[in-house]
Amino acid sequence: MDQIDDYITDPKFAAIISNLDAEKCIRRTVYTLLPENTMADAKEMMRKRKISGIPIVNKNRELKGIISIEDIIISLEEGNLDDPIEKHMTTHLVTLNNNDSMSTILKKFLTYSYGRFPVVDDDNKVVGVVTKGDLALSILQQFGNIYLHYKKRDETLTFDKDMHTLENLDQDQCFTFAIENEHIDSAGEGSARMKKFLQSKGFQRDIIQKASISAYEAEVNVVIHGGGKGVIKLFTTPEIIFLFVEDSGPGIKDIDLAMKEGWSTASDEVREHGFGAGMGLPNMRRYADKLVILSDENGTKVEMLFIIDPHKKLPEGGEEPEGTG
Amino acid sequence: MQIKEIAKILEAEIIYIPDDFDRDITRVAASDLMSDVLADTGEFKLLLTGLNTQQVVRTALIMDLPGVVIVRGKVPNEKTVQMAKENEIPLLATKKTLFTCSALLFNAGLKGVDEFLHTRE
Repeated sequence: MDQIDDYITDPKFAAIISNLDAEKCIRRTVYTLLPENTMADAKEMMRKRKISGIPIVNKNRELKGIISIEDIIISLEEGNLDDPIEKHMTTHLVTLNNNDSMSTILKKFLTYSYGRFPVVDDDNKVVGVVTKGDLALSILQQFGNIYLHYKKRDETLTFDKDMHTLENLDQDQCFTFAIENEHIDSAGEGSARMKKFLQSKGFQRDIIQKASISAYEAEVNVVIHGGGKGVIKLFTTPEIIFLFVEDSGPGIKDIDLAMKEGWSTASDEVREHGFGAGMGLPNMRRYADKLVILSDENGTKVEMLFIIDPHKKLPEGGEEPEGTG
Repeated sequence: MQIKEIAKILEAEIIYIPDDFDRDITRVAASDLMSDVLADTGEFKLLLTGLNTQQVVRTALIMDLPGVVIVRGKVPNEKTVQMAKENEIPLLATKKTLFTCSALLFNAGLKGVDEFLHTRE
């Protein structure tokens, strides 16, 4: 007995067991008989339903006893199949409660040698049954799910890290451009190249525009505010475009203010080039489906996610508008 | 409307128009703020601007605009012209002011992009 307790109370196992859903092992379709039914009725029900035990209930579905396949065998041997069930049923009952946790259920199975337990509610009415087979199957299935879940989570986490380094990804779907520009006049080359890259991959025109405009604004920001040195990284799948623009500038002092349209700290020279009007981050927010800005005194990272609408179809011959490119 | 017809209306100098350029122009945006121009993607629009820097052509390139008209008698610098040619973006220059150009093109039946301006809260 101590051994069983050891297992169930071991924090390692307890944590795993507490994650298992007890409901999943409870069979809710329960075949029952009344105490006045005969042993022959029980035998027929077991044969027809392929079950090895039947809870015996009164007219209010309150649990009165249980008949197992062993009881039927004894009845057959003794030739008393016509007896009412109540004469032979087990009345020393060990039950599970409807609200029992998985560890309580496991403990019952490990403590008693029964192959099944009726499940009753607080009024002792039968609401389900758990067999050893149900229990084993449900645990196996749930462990399978947990494993799958952990594996998936692991993949997601690794993928998230890879998206920032572009390592371990299909390089064919990756684009990188190093921004080295101290003058606003030539800012935007990376975005223009990125746009060509997206066009070469056959993306829809509107998503190319959204991503390119956002990259352009981010690139201009790197030149205006970020000290002119930075990087544009892009990763695509058929479902998403992930855009990451990073600089090693002094950081954004007040992101809330920077998100406001019309707020800017740009110089007159920058304004003379048509930027610095306080529309950069608001434009990125306008176009990106997800925008994350991380900024401190070591630099600014802008992450943008563009989700490709799978319902939009490419017209034949691609999306390239005539007269450009 | 074809870009050559627009050049005629604005009495503009054709700095560059790609061969066989025949995109139909129906809308116009007039602005010196490139971020304002970048704030809507509803329709390809001709860009009228008082700026003459590379960024006007870059904006046109990023947004697939069918052309740029530099107003108020400004002359685009060499790099701007070169970029327009490399990317096959029509580039015109006119002595007329932004207001006059806008009015002339509006009277000729071209529309603005007002209905495409959208904000995301």
